[in-house]
Amino acid sequence: MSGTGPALIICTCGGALAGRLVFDRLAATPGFGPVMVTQDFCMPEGWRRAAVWCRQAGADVLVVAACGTPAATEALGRVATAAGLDAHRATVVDVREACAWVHPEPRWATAKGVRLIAAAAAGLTEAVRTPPPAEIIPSGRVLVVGPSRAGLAAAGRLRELGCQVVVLDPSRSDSSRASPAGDPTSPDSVPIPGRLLEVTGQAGDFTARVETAEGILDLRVGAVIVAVEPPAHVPPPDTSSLLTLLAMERWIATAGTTPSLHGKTVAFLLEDCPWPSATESALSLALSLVRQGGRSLIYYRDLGVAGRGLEERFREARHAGVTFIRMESDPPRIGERDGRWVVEVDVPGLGLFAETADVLVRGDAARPPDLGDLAEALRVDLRPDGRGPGERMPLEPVFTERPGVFWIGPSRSPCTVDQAIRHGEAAAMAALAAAAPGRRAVSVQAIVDTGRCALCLTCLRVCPHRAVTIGDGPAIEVLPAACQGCGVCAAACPAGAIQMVEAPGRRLLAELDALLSGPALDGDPIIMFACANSAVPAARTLGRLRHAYADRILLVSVPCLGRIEPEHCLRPLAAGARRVLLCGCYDRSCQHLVGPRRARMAAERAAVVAGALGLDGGAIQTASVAPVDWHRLAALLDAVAAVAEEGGAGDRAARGEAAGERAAEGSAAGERTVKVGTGKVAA
Amino acid sequence: MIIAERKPLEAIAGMMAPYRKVLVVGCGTCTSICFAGGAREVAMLGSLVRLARQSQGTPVEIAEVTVHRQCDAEYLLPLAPQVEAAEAVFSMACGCGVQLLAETFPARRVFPALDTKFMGVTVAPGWWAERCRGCGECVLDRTGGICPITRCSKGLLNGPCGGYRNGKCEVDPSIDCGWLLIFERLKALGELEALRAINGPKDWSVSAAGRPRSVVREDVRTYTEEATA
Amino acid sequence: MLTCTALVVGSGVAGLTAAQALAARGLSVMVVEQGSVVGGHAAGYACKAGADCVLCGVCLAAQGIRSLRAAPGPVVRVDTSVVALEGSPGRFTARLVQRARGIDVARCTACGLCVRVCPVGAISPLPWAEEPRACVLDFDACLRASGNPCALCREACPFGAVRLEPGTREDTVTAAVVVVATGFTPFPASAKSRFGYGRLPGVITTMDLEQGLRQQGTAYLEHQAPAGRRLAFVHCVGSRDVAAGRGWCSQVCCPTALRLARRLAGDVPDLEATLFFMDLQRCAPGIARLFRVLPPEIHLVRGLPAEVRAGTGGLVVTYEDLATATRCQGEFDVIVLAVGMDGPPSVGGLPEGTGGFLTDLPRGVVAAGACGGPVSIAEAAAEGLRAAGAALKTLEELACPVPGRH
Ligand SMILES: Cc1cc2nc3c(=O)[nH]c(=O)nc-3n(C[C@H](O)[C@H](O)[C@H](O)COP(=O)(O)OP(=O)(O)OC[C@H]3O[C@@H](n4cnc5c(N)ncnc54)[C@H](O)[C@@H]3O)c2cc1C
Ligand code: SF4
Ligand code: SF4
Ligand code: SF4
Ligand code: SF4
Ligand code: SF4
Repeated sequence: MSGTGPALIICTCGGALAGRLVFDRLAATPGFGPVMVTQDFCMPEGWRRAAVWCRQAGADVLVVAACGTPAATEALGRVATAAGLDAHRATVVDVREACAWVHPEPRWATAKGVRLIAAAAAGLTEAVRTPPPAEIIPSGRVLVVGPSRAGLAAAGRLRELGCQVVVLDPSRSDSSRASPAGDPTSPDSVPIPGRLLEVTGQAGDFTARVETAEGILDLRVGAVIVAVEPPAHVPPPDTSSLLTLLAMERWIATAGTTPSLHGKTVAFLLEDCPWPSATESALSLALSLVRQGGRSLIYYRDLGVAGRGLEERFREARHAGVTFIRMESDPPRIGERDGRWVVEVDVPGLGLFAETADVLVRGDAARPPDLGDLAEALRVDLRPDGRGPGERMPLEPVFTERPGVFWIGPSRSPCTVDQAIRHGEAAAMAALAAAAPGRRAVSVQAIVDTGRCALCLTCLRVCPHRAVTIGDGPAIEVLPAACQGCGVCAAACPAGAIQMVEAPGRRLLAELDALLSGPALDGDPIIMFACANSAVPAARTLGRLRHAYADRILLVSVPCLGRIEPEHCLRPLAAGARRVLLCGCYDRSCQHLVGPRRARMAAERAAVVAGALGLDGGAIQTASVAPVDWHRLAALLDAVAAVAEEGGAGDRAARGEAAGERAAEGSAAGERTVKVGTGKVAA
Repeated sequence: MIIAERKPLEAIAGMMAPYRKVLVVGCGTCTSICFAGGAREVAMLGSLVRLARQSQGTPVEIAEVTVHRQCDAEYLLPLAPQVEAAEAVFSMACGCGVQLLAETFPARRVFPALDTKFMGVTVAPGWWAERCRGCGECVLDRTGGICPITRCSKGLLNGPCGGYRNGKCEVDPSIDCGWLLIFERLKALGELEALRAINGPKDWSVSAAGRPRSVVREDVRTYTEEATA
Repeated sequence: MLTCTALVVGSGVAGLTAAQALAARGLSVMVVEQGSVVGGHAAGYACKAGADCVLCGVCLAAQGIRSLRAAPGPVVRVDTSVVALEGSPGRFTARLVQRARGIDVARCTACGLCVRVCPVGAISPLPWAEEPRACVLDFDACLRASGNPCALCREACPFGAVRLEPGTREDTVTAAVVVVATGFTPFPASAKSRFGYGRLPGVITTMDLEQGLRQQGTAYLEHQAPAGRRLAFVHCVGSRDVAAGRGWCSQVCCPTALRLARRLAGDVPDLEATLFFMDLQRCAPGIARLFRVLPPEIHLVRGLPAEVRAGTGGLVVTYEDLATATRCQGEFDVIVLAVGMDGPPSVGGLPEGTGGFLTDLPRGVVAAGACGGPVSIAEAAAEGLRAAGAALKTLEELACPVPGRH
């Protein structure tokens, strides 16, 4: 760094911030070299002027006190490029929405602004040098597991887009027949019977180990699409058994028109089956039976028609003579008389209602095949019901936690034919983005210090995106195309060996230290760690709405709450902060899947340590908010400020005790094992 | 790896009480991996003690450093200036590290900040379990790869005692009977016959109970007799 | 005359996803949006999380809007409608009509100085819009509409962003392929006059509730019925209803009604909500579980109300309880009509099928999202991806050079 110290640009937003912030005081923030006050930083003329000034000032660290709008961030990028600054050594501090507009008293708003500016500077000075982007050379090939409708739709679309596709058929993997078209790499090969054993590497550059009749094969692929189907059923020997919808479908498909069903009555039991896919197949079977002169009865409680064209088909079936019988609470009673089934239900208003049928078809949402091995091969977690990857908002309906791996079709959730095809085509496009040939530069976000890494594998185990791998080198390796920059690994690494480019560990602590000193606020500070995906946008909305909250609430943006370590919670308390708030997504809406949970773990651990030190462990609090829900955030901030106001010694002691109790529970260990729980620290 | 656990804060604070300038030395290998004495833990201990002493009005100056491995003097020697500057040194390594530090810097008081527990494996992140007692003469070839000395509370060599209940150990019903584990493993391997062989009395003189042990490998040794004399 | 490789009509979830996917493949993409904010309907909805997220997808839509500026991204034009589309693959021409916004989006910083000086409050800073962050001037409310020479806002704006010329501007854009993502139109609830929407105070729609909750929080409910704690949700208003000319299931109403009811029951003390439904559609992610473990404040009644009228103690709902086959009445303070989705606003030159949803589009024009039939937010995003793939395929067939491929 040149001797001048970091440069500071203050934007007055065309004078709109005058009277709300005291610019002289902002400009006097300690530690800075040259200072420029401008009024139009985000305008083309403004950022050009700023770039020229930056070059002349010769500083290589730049803080811009402006607003949190995307325009300001874009302008910063332009200034950095034009002035030849490392983009990671320049930052915008939001003094508009976060101070000027939410704190009506200029003195406090300015005091907060000074702290925010100082913190940004401290963070930048600690920042690591940006490593050059990693280069990925995608394989241009996609592996589709499961030649189902969804899988074939995906494969078809990918081929149309010029991508090579290999389709694997795991349901036939144990058939001893050799594959008809042996070369899986030939572009138009038919599905190869085979089983996926393991997928290593990263999006664009995976190695898929596959077991086929010919032996074990390693395929280089850029993306993997899972589209397996429930296994095929053997056609039943006679009509007197209880069939599933799927079995019935397959049976009719193989037998063509089924003379044995001619004139027969078939009852479909859909009472526990609200899936549109079940309705779809029951409706088409019932219709075809009725058209062949048979009789179809459909028993249902909630008819699932939430699929394209299903309600229309339902009406068509009714007009064609399919009988629909709605039941309420009790399941139907099934008996037998003269070799035929008797189905008896209690229909509201009609009483008991009995029908006889020749064939019974049970509509269960087609059971998925056992997906355990496949999930393990892909390192993707299954849902508790054994279906595809988690019910997590950011993943629905085609993504998995692992970038470059997609999951579609009935093994994810029961879907209609139309949906299966649509999802297949959607997954194809998503896969293309990962696999399309052509070099791709990926910026590296988590950097492992090879000298410090103890190869303990903690990062490998906690990374929610499966971006960590054991390589050949002396340290663990982060795969840049898989890493999403959440910082969970950096927070968990016991050796402190991982640095995040955007918010390195040292930087976060340096920022905190700077934030916790500086001009007096309207009370003891309250630190709020805010997830950049949820709490930060919500807080910005508060700013735009001019919704005032306590001035002493200081917001620290983190890429994900999973980045927070116990140390981050303890520092502020030790430095006199009244409360520490960890505010991020909900468990099911977190982009990084584990953020809120890891934050709770960190908070709990910090609370126990704080308790042991006589600090107020209860002052550490976690909360969830959606980016669109500014009301919840406003209510939360008001409540936190109010509690901090009254937080006296008495309730502090009580909280300390509570933390101690938790500690005692945590330390009850059985075998001679050591569990790092919340308890250990205080025990 | 060697599993350790940090001593209670009060205990460490007690040992530190007489000093105003201390050095805390972490270990970047085993105790780092079990979250007891790596760089993170060193920083945490540092801040905790600083805070505690601050509030007692007896501030302490704490220097923090983490070396790659405390069981090799080469990693410790560069610490000389820092050790020199401190009144006392606190090691966050296993007992080996603590002792080697003390041997390397005989002029300084060296204290353990951890309790060294055992040699074990990671069961799940945050959970470690003991697997080997370093008995000096391994029997795993005869017991299906499960160590009776470690996994059986009584270290029996020829099958279980009479006290196991529902597959659990009578000494601590929360753990599995080691011999049952051995039996099932051998059964799965089709090697139950191996249990018929009687293991003779074990030579405990080569174990930790015998005497301080050392291992000398002629093929890798680089020192001369004279040099150590 | 403007030009781009791929034109995306509509900036809802489907349109934005398609545009981002196409731009990421290196194409020049233009998104045309007739509204003043980007994001379509979902950009105005509320989060419905209780203790945990209920997978409504609204925050995902917001996330998509925020990532819009990541390079390489599409060009977005707001306040502009596509009124007609013609041409053939490789050479489509769309006619654009741009409505004056009164504020130059590229220069406004949403500093609010103009908002402060306007004597009639004609300028709104649209505080909950993610993009663009710029004000909107309502020319009808502006004093100049009545001949007054006021230009206070223009004088106040430090950036010269105020444009006081009302009216519209026409333009055309040519494109090789077009993704139509014009979304849906909410069913006009007043068309079902027996439910009293627009006539009886306290009768609102789920759309009103979504937007009210987003903008005002639960205070919105207080405005509807100050002490009102008894809510009724009526499902299938404008869906599965041949008589009303809407013979399709709108797919999102059941989950939306349940999620809204849960959120309100969690946030407002003593609130009770009754859901009147025909069949519960439980296929959205996580919804089956939510219906299984209902909080005690939420009641399910199978049977759609016949009518709603004003009674002495509130709004009286007459319905047949199908579970017991009895005719019943209930009294409520607020009635929420779960309105369905109609087809999108018409665009000249595009064929429409049942209900105005787009079908049989010409080659080179791809429909994405709710304009092809009802979908949820997550499905709309998948639709956007699918449409982007289909558009790329057409380009491939045309042998247009597609960057990123050799
Ligand atoms: C009351 C209600 C509540 C809902 N709640 C949920 C929910 O909680 N969760 C969920 O998943 N789904 C919900 N949905 C469904 C959700 O709104 C849709 O899935 C989603 O908005 C569809 O996105 P889209 O992009 O297809 O269309 P839209 O969001 O409708 O976007 C279409 C865009 O195109 C623009 N446009 C139209 N015509 C033109 C033209 N000619 N020129 C230029 N621009 C044009 C429009 O202005 C609009 O911005 C709800 C629906 C309703 C009715
Ligand atoms: S957590 Fe840290 S020490 Fe452990 S393997 Fe990862 S980088 Fe290495
Ligand atoms: S930053 Fe997140 S995604 Fe990247 S390696 Fe670390 S834990 Fe994995
Ligand atoms: S000093 Fe102890 S903890 Fe460190 S490497 Fe040696 S044995 Fe392991
Ligand atoms: S309920 Fe909806 S808006 Fe709220 S967090 Fe979940 S998905 Fe996002
Ligand atoms: S004064 Fe200008 S920049 Fe400020 S909000 Fe109004 S139009 Fe936008």
